[in-house]
Amino acid sequence: MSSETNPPAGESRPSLGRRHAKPSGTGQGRVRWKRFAIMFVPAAAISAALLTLTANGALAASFSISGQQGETSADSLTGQGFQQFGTADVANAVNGSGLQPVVESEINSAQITNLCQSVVETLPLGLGTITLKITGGNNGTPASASSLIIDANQLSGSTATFGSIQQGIDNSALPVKTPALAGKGNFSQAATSISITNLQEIAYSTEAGTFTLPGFSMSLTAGNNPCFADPNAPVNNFHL
Amino acid sequence: MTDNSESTEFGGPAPAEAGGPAGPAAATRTGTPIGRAWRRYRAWRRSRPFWAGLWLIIAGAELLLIPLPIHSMGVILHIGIGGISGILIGAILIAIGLLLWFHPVQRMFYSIVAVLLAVAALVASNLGGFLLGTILGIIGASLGFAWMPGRPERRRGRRRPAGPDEADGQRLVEPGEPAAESADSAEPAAHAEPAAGHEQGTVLHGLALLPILALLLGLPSALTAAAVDPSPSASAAADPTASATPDPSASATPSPPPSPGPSAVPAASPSPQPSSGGSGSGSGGSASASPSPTPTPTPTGTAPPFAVATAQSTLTATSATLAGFAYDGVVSVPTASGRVQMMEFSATSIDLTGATLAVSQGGATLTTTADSLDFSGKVLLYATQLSGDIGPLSVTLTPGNAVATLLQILSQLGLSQSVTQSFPLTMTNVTTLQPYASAGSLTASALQIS
Repeated sequence: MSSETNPPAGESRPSLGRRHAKPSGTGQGRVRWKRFAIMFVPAAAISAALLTLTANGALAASFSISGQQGETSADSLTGQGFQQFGTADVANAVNGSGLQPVVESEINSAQITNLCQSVVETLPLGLGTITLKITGGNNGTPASASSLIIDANQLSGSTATFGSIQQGIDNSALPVKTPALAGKGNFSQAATSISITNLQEIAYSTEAGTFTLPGFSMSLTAGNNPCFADPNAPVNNFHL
Repeated sequence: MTDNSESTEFGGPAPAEAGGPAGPAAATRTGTPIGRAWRRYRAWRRSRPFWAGLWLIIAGAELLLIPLPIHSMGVILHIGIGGISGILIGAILIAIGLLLWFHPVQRMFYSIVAVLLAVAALVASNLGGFLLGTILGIIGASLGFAWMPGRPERRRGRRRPAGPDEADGQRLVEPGEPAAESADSAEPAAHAEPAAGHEQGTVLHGLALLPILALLLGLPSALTAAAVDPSPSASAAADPTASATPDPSASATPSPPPSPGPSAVPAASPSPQPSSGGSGSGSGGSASASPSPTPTPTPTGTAPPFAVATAQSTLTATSATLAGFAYDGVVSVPTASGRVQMMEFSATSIDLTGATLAVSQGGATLTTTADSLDFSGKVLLYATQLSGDIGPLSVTLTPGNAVATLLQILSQLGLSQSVTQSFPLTMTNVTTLQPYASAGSLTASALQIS
């Protein structure tokens, strides 16, 4: 916009009660801090209320994380409507250029106890390493997720039980269609139910339509403190 | 009200003044081009809610980048609005930041939309970009809301009615400024607080209350929707305000029924879909138009109802224990690339130890290992080849070979089933090619996929 107003530099007007008197007075604007508070305080209060509700499991949050590798662990995961197939994820160039083979697990609804998710990030400028960690479902009430989609390149569990499983069906014949994710002919498996204990996985992307996280807590710590120790534990490079 | 006291508050460490300290220094460098450019930039910056826009752009970028890159549209279709809400909110916040810079006239509206979205991002997108995006967004929106052009002082006692073009925008302020300066020292304030003169206390505060109102009204419906079945219409019907404004509850409960999407997958062989109910989509011109099994030499063999994967897959196990085991014959199994002759085995249980399933597709190999894989229930196994050692004997079964034929005869007599039911057959060093297995249940121990 045409905002060059060329203020008369010496234009001096006695500015009442102003601490730094600006010589150029034209076209200036100011932040009225009372007005700021009028919006900021209630918005912050509502945000705090929403967070509290989330932590109480009363409110579900939606998650969609991609491009960074993170760890997910859980003492147990019980789910309904499971399907899994191999596909490839776009990883950001820093994390291992191009397409990465992953196992995509889709669970229609899942209950998770002692959920932990962590992302380790190396900051630029030698600022060190930080770990973002989210935990939930550890107060007796499991966390629950719907439309959970996890693209893992490593997944393990000490025991896994699948109900009504079909192993080796074509990707195109899965109960829940996955449009052209893996292409036809690809190996998939589907089960009506799944139960995994001591789940540990390293994922390129995690999506959840809704996620209720009773006992939710989020922490940002210095150093490399992922959810579980693993030789392949990923460390992401900060990127934009 | 805010009027008089405001001016004294300005000295505070305002983010809006972060660029300020350089000001006086720059003013002295009137001559140099850099100085001129700096002053131009400063004048530009100060004539609009610059820092508000900047915070909002950063907040939007943060929200936007977490879900990126989207690895496929399929995922978005699959999980619904939740998959793109972060991208959507981030993009809108960036747009609002830019609009605050280049079209600050409407900053009230922009700021209110921005604060609603920033709060909504808490539930709609990764807890508001792990809080950071929400915090930055609220700060930016509040700054935009609080920014007013011109000088704040001496607004009292003005009887100047709100003019026609009273959006008190930058267009008014800047070009009008020289005139204002010459006319009356209080003039800029006239532009600045036009509506404010009388109505600031009511109108603008009322405006400020809008988002709160919307949120408070939206919250209960969001809660109930989250508790019961997510349906955005519930909150929309709950109150008109919430539906008129971007209600966070709508995005909080994205109602993601993973509907069997309009199958973009060209299923090569239409197969009956008992669960999805969707009819198989048109075939890619393959010969396998019929899902029913073609007649095979064996009476017992039935093709699996699903198309079987053609990706090269191998299942190996150090040992396999087969109970109630029978060879049902050769069946013609529908696959994406036409029908394949496969052997069908049935069993009441198949227990594998030291199992490894390797699948090669798209140039990558995915390996699933497990200390044990126990199939039970009604186990059906299809394979193009099954080999292993039974005691000292090395056995390889392929469709139609001698051993398979022998086993088929035994099975048809019912011998194989009854004998292995009582005395489960154990094979070692088992290799199965192109396996397709279905079972009532599968229990794996020490499962590992990589």
